[in-house]
Amino acid sequence: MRILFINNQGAGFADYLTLEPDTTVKHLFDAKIKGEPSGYLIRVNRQPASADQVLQENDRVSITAVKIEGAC
Amino acid sequence: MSWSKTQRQHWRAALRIHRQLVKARHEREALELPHTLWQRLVAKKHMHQAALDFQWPHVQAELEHDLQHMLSDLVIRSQELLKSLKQQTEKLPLITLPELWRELEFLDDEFEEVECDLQACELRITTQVIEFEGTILGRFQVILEWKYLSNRHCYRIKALDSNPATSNEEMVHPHVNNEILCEGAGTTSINEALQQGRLFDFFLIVQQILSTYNSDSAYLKISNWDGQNCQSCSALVDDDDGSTCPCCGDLICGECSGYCQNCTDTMCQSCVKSCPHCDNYFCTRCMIHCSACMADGCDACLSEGLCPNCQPNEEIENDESIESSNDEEDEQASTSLDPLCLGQAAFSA
Repeated sequence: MRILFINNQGAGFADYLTLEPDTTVKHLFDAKIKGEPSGYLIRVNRQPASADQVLQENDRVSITAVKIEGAC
Repeated sequence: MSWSKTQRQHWRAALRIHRQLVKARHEREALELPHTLWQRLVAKKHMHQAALDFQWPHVQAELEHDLQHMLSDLVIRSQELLKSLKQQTEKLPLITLPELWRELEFLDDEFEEVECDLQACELRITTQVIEFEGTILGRFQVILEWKYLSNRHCYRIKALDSNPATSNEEMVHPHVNNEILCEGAGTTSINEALQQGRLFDFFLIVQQILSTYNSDSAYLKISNWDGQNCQSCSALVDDDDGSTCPCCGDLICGECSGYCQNCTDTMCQSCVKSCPHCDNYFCTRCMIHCSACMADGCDACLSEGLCPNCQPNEEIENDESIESSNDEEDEQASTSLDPLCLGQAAFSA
């Protein structure tokens, strides 16, 4: 199963990933992101997702940190 | 199923934005080969050959030095081109038009207010009310100007319920200056999102930066938001630290305040002067003019409206009057002793 994974933190990247069937949002988060899910806005196909949501073929998953520090 | 008015508007916007994204990507991907550098290198090589033919060792050495520099520049330029080309190859393809339309459609779900202005070529989203440490900064509008998508700053930030810093009316957010967001940790991800046309992610990242306060790197710390500038040294002054000069009404910080030894009030340094006679400091209200020379002096140093400099004149007069009265007394005494002035020498005038 192929999905588009977008990591909007740090250097940021967007790439296609091949996942096992029945992979949930939590599985993906734990595998790709270090930290607590509460510190991130997780969107599947641009909509808020629950941790146990099972990902589907061609899903678009984006993870954006709740706190992104600006500068001056 | 027919499309709604908003859906049609989003499609028209998506068409225009996509055109701009393609244009911007082409501009970035245009490979500029170092033609000029190569031509200069060839010309230099011919000169070097001539120097060899004519056996000019000094010129030959200079040209070889130049050739080394130019070849080094060519290597650096080629490496930069190679890196840029590799990045382009690895880069995700540009978003498709239907996907871009979906990006616009879902903005309504994520943000409180979304405006798509086809005439102004602007896409605007409104954030929630932003509040840091009890200071309410209000809502902000993120305005993407899609005709400038090839530029670094193709968006700006506008305060809708402006609560600017007391010391600077232009300062509406600790990380926004002159409508430009200082992206900090979000710089690369914003850049990537814009280059790939992921506008949903772009607006989300910008909103999260606006909602985050980084006290270590802010144009103005939120703790100083309601502070005003000291009129004397321009330092920011909190309500607790500053005071208002009772003489001129200026706001002053603790370091710039002076103290009047008469009324004991704290005031700005320009309203405090030293008494030229005792060197103690007094406010302009407690200083009085000498009625004779009009110079300032403190109440303690002036006597009957006269400064010490003017007082000695009266003393001299007093001394003179005392002396003259003494003389008269002496005269009377001598007259009484020797009415005929016998035994006294005459003095010529």
